[in-house]
Amino acid sequence: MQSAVLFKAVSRLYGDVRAVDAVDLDVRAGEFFAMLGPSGSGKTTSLRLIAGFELPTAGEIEIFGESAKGVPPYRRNVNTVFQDYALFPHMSVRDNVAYGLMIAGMGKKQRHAKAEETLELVRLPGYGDRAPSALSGGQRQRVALARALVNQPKVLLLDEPLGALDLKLREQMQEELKSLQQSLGITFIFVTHDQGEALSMADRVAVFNQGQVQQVGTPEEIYQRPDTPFVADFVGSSNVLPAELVRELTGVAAPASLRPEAIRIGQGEAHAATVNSLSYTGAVTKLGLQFRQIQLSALVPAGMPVPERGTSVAIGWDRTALHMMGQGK
Amino acid sequence: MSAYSAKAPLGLKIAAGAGLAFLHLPILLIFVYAFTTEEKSYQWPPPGLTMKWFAVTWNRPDVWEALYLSLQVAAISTAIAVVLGSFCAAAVAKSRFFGREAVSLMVILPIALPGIITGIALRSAFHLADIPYSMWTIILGHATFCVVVVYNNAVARFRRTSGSLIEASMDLGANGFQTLRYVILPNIGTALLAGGMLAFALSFDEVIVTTFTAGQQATLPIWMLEELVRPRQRPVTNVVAMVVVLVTFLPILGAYYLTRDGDKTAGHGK
Repeated sequence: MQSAVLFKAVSRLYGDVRAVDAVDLDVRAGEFFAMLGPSGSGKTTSLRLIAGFELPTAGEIEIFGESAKGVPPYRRNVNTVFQDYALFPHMSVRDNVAYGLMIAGMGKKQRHAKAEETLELVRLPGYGDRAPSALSGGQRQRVALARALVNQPKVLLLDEPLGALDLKLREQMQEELKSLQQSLGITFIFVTHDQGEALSMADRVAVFNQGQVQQVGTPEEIYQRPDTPFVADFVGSSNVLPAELVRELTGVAAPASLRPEAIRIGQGEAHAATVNSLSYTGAVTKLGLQFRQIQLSALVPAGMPVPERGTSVAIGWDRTALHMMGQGK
Repeated sequence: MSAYSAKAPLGLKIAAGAGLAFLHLPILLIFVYAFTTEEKSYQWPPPGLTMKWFAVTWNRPDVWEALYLSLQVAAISTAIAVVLGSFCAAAVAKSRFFGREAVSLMVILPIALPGIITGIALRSAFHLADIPYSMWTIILGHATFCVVVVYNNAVARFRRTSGSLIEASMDLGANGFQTLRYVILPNIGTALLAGGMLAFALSFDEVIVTTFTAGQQATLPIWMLEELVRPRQRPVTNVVAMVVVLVTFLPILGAYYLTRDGDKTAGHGK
């Protein structure tokens, strides 16, 4: 499959800080790709490198097979939805959406028609005359999306676009973005620090930490078979068992991840642990367990008996639930 | 809320009235004397009222000359200030470089310094560089404080303008020039206009720096100062004073309204 965006050992340094550190990436054409990581992990810098707002200190970026070297942002067939939307406050919604077309030299009538068409696509028909300031956060987000999409970019970059929205609106926009991407067939590259968002929306996810890519894979791969302790911990707060303990349990000296939902609690299980915290979250109760030298978290579904704090319980798991990892970077 | 909505006590009203009178009565007096029939001294009450001084003023070539020079000086130094002030504001607000705070302080310094210091400094500088005093030396002198006014207005607006607007414009295909024209200027335009108007008003009635940087030329305020010494046709000075009040007051009023609305639109983007 063709690459939409290719990173070849790309680094971006700020003084001594390696914001992006020798990253290799291959985003395929037409996929919904998420860059996931905590703040300062290099995911936004990577996005800005693709847009052309930052230049790599080392390495090379290709966009649809062509080197992006020396190509300014305004010559890249890539558009961005900014975190703060960056709508032009002195223009109407219509002029905001039509901005790229105006710059490209399209006539007024034609570009206004195009803008209206795109506003319909993002479900804001008839909002063209309003000022951006008269819109809600969710609506501004849609205008920003329309403004980027109207230019029919080959790649759409989204920088934490849902961060400022409330939960309900965020879930709705997640679905809309996903279906929009599928119907348009444009490559979406989506930056987020919310692992739930990345897992539910993306075809593939790259997990960033300290400027490096820890793992690239489908949401299932990332969740079920994390490559490194960081990925296991960051994506869905998996338990990480240190290599020492894993050697005692299995004879293999490597850190392993163990999902909280994979831990069974009940009589007849092989290991002993002590309950030292309980938190009720609705559908499940989260247990904090002291198991040998480490702390494990486990889940008890609603309706099942919940052990009391301070008591000893027997715990166990399937052999396959223990997923061996590399040491990580 | 209740503390402010209650009716002001009588004493406070009288004090406020007295304060306003103290501020504005002298200005009103200037206006009244423009209509007096007594031309040698300012006599109160005016012995009679007449409109003839307007005609006299209109026919005095020296008034026209001074007015023309003042307008020229104000217009050119404002133009210089708008260009330099906005560039400087853009650099300080939009990038980080070594000595940024120092540059910011140094730009503002001329307006903080007493005018007389600026005046003496410029005069000795012109003297050292062997620059003859002319309209251009006055313009240079005025530009030093006009730049500050424009800079202050522009830098405040730049700081409120989100940096991603410029990136968004570039992202959508606009090059630097197009971004300047379609995004940056419309966003800082009213701030520049307001700064320019204030600078114009400041320059138009400036006396101190002008005294030090002018040669034989007299701007309107300098002309008025000279005129006060002469006991003939004194009300002409008052007619000119009314013109000066109008020429300086209107831009200041305009600047006030422009930045007020501008603040609203600038705040909206966030």
